[in-house]
Amino acid sequence: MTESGESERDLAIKQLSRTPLGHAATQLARILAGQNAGGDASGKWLMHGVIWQQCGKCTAVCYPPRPLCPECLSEQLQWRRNAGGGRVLSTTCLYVSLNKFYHLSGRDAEPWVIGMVSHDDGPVLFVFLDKSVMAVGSRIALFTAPDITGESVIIGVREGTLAIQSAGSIAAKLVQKNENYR
Amino acid sequence: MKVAGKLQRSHQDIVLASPVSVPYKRKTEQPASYFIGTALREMLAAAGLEKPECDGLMVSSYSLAPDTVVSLAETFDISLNWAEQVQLGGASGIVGVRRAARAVAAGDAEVIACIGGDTFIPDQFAGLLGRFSNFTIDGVTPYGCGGASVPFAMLTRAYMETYAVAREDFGRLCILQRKNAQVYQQALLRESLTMEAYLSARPVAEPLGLFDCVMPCAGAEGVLVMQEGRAQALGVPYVRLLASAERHNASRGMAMPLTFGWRDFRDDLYHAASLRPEAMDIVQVYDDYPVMALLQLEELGLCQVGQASRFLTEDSFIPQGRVVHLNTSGGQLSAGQAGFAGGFMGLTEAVRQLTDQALGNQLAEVRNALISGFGMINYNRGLCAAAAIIERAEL
Repeated sequence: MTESGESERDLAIKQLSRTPLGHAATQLARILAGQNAGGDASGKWLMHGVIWQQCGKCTAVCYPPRPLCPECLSEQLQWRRNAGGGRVLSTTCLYVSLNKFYHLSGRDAEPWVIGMVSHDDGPVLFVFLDKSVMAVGSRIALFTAPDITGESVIIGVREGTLAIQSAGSIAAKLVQKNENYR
Repeated sequence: MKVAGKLQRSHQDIVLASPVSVPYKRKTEQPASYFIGTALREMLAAAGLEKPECDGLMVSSYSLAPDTVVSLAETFDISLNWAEQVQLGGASGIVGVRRAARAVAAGDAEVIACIGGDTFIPDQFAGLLGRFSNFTIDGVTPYGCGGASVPFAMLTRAYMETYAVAREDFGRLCILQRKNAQVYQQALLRESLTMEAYLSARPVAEPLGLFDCVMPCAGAEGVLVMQEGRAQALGVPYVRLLASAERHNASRGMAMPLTFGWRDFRDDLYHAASLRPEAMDIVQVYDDYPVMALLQLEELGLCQVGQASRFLTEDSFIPQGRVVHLNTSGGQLSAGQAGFAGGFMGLTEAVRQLTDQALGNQLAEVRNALISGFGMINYNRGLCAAAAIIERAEL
């Protein structure tokens, strides 16, 4: 416990909390994945594609979320699911995190692979990446799943029939509990 | 729309004086205002100025909140004709001095103290980095909480693959800068660095290892900005500010940018200074990660794109057969990164060199310096690029 009385878990979760717009994206992803928005925050779900915004006036799409359309500055941004894929721009294997959860959840033994992905429809996204598609230019399929806080994150995996299985396996690691972690 | 950098005007008769670097600390219980105020006290003492004679204050600090520049006016009991807070990360020093120079030229203030300073409290640091911007909160921090190392690892890998650059090429820069730090009294890291140690250091975010990352710390850096006549009346050593420029969000629309704005204004910057890039004696580039130092050398025209590391040895930077003094105090990679003070470090060091006041590392026969800054990783790239050229004043 820290001086303020918060556990390390509370601090880690606070550090991972999203903006109201980011939280709205999670709510929609959870509904589209077939899970009630009011359900258990730690419940697993997996949605094919990503949630982002599209302008009802000029049709521009954008990510990360924002209050106005970046093209025409209109207020008509609407949440959309996009099931398209993308290609890998660059990657990293992350060994040092500012959030203790990552170290305490067994991450040191198997560091996360993070990718920067250019979506076919324009936006650039950070994703948890499948190790088998680290080459720059690799085609990837995108999925959305909850992290340890219940908020959504994007997962990028090799395109093809095994994509959903690969995404499910990464999603499971994201919410893996660790005995040493309180 | 104004074309980037066009109409760039030189800074006539504006000078920089009294460079101060408040020694960096790894551990402290002092707030940011302590470091900023210490810089102010020392620069006023160096210039022989009484506090009321400093009528302008420009500060840059991420850890000053909830205070602002005007809180400092009350904290230090000083009335101001001009107050400015520039929150542009590693571009803050150059942009802040540029703002101050325009204000002094317009007569809005006579003597402006420009100070970047931050404290370092480890528990708060992680939270501040992870919640740096709304895009970071929703789109970057959830992916491992790696801070700026994640976007810079992506950039470093892309640069390496695009230009066939190896880790050793970054290693030479780090070793060169560490050698410079060995004679700079205030660097936190002064022990020599070998290529073997660089390459075998523990990974942080591949391809970045420990020695590719700056050590966060507390400290402050600053200079005074005034008219040349005022500096002469004070009898204080000074340098002339010849030209400066800034550009923000220059890489919009690019998925994986390898250029960040300097090339948009560099021709006008050199034109305004009446100097060519090959005439620069000292170059201080912003080195939060080695890839950025190389990119600035290239974009600012010291060498061709993708080629900077070819002109680097472990001892010197020699573009076109001429030695250019690079990051002469060891840069942030050796001295540490005291928050936004990191964006002032190249400036204060260059002003010391050109006024023969260096702290143990004085160079001979240096006439001018190019300084550049880079800041604000709002999402996946730095948004703020700035540069300035200063020249020795022959007294």
